[in-house]
Amino acid sequence: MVDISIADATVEQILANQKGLIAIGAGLAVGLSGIASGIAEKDIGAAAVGAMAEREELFGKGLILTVIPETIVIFGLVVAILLLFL
Amino acid sequence: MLKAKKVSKAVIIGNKKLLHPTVDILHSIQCIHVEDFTEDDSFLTIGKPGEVASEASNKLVKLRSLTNFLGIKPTHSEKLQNEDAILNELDAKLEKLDSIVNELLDRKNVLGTELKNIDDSIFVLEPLSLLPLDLEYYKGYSSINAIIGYIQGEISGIEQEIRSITTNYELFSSPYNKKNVIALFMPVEYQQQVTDILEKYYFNDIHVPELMGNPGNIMAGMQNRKEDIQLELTSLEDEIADLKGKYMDFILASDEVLSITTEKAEAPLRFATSESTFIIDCWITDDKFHQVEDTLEKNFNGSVMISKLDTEKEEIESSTIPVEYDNPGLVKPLETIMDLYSRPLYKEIDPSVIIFFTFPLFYGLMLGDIGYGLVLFTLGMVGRAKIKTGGLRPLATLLVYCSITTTIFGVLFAEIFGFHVFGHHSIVAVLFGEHSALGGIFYNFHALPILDRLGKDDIPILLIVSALIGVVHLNLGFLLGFRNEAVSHGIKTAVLEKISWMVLQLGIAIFALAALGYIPVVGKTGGIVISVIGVVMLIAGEGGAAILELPSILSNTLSYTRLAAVGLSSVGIAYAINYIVTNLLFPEGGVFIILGIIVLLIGHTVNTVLGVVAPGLHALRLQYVEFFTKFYNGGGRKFNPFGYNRKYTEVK
Repeated sequence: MVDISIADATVEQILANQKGLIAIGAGLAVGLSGIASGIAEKDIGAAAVGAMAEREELFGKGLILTVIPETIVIFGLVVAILLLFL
Repeated sequence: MLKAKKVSKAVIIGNKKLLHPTVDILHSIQCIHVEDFTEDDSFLTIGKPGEVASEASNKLVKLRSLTNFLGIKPTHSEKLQNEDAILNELDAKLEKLDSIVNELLDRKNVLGTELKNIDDSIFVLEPLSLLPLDLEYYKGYSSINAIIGYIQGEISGIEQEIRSITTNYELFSSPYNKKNVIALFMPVEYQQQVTDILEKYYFNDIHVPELMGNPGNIMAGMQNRKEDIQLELTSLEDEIADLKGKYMDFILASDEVLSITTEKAEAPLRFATSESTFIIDCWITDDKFHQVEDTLEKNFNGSVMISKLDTEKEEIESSTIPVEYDNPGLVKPLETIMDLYSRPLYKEIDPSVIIFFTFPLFYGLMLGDIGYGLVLFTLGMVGRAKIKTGGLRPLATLLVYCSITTTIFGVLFAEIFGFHVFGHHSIVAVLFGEHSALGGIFYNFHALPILDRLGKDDIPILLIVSALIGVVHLNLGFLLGFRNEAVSHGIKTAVLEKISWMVLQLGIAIFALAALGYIPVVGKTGGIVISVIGVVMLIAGEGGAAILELPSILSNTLSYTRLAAVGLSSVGIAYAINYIVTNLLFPEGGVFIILGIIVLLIGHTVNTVLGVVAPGLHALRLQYVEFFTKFYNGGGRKFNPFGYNRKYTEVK
């Protein structure tokens, strides 16, 4: 670990520090939104499988309903990409 | 294309005597979709099945039980057999096969029962063989009680307790399976006391079989017999396998012939009949109508006639009309994707052709790698070669389509298994040396990649491009929705419900361009005004609840950024694998090179599997969720032609 206090940090150290924080932010954006989609999808997915067991032709509708919350994690990923690359 | 095949409602009417010949002809030409007749209060009744029906279905039941016993599965057959030949020898062959199989089954059962009995006897004899007594000594006493069984605990303990009652006893014992097996002989009068003692030692009774002689010898004989039986069973299995090989073609072919016979014989149950006529209510595709009309005329000379109603003029509920796709052969595999969601309604646009372009496009844009593209191409081609029929074949074909676009985008992104192909980091230049002839070409070629997903500069462009693809795709959806609405609910509703969204987008776009300074500031106000007009149109069309749907235009468009994002995740995994191998493992040398190759193989295999699943599902989702919701209803019935697709037989 490099001990950094802002007062005697070099410019390079401060920049590196900022990069680290951005990386943490990007990680949180993907991770948390991933958990959120997971929570949302688990109930829908279970119900969709149940419905499919009754009527197999509901696969298409079931798939759609299941993947709707997935948009959340895509947004998270986009935010992460914007953070990292812009 | 874009529309289902034109079908019309038709009725076939004829003399009842000609019913069965008519069914034969209709069944063989496979052109009509029969509507089942349900009896009502009118004078019409459902027809009577042909005489052969019950006989044929009896034979079919027998045949299917043989199929089951021999373990025959439907296969792809190259050689077609003649139906008449099959029918001629069917009865004799079926009879013969049935008796052979019955005989085999009897033998199998007898052997099975004997095997089970031997196993049961051995289970009892094994502990007894440890005691020094022949079996006849365990039975036939009047004043002596013979107690044979298992106990838990020490023999010396139990012997002591017995001795405290009487010394007039005989005890044999031997340890067996963590327990002791005992044979105790005592005068009858002590029975109650002995039972009490034995209970403490968890006594468990053995039922001595009615046999004579030394249990060890008997058991050895049984073991020999058991081995013989097992040999016999194996040879029986071989016989069954032989039988299967010999009769498989015959069984599959006669199953088909009998199924067809039954189907034809039972067909009148679906038709209406009066005293002397029959009426078949059906649907027919327009391109086949004349063929059917001519065939009936030629065969029956006017005694059986077909006439059709004009579906366009009649007010027929769209959902009741059976739908037959009308797509060129190349687009056919996409119909599977459509059916997975729901078949289009008759009057709806059938978007198979559009998906034919967009699905592989999205897939390729996401995966975009020459290496993965070629691997998937090989997989798809192998799949097509192996799978001749069934639901998986279209998916293999689809994989081939997707692999082609994947390779094309792989070239545009200049990626091969996550490595650069061109430029200063080119894998070719690294492998062959940048000054070698081949390496030099790749090293100095800078026209590609057009978009570099491995660097970071081009990623925002990729995001914007994917969002723009989204805008185009969504608006295509709105246009198709406009057409569907215009056909079913009139132009006005169509404009209010679908064009309003496009107006709204236009407003937002003008506002954004003005805010970013690309057009004069006036644009801001203009944009807002246009957006409001769009919203008002929408509310007029769909009611106040439509306001809740407004944000969906944004989330739908942004949803297309997955085209860039999913791709980056697959590149990311490939890049990470390559980095671990080339930068961390290979420089260590020795064993690490082998380890590196293993990591490379496993890593890219896993990524290929992910590469099939993730882009496939996401490309599918963009169609189903974003695109279809703009125009598509679905719920159409499948046009199911009356007839049978022969796989094993033909009619000469």
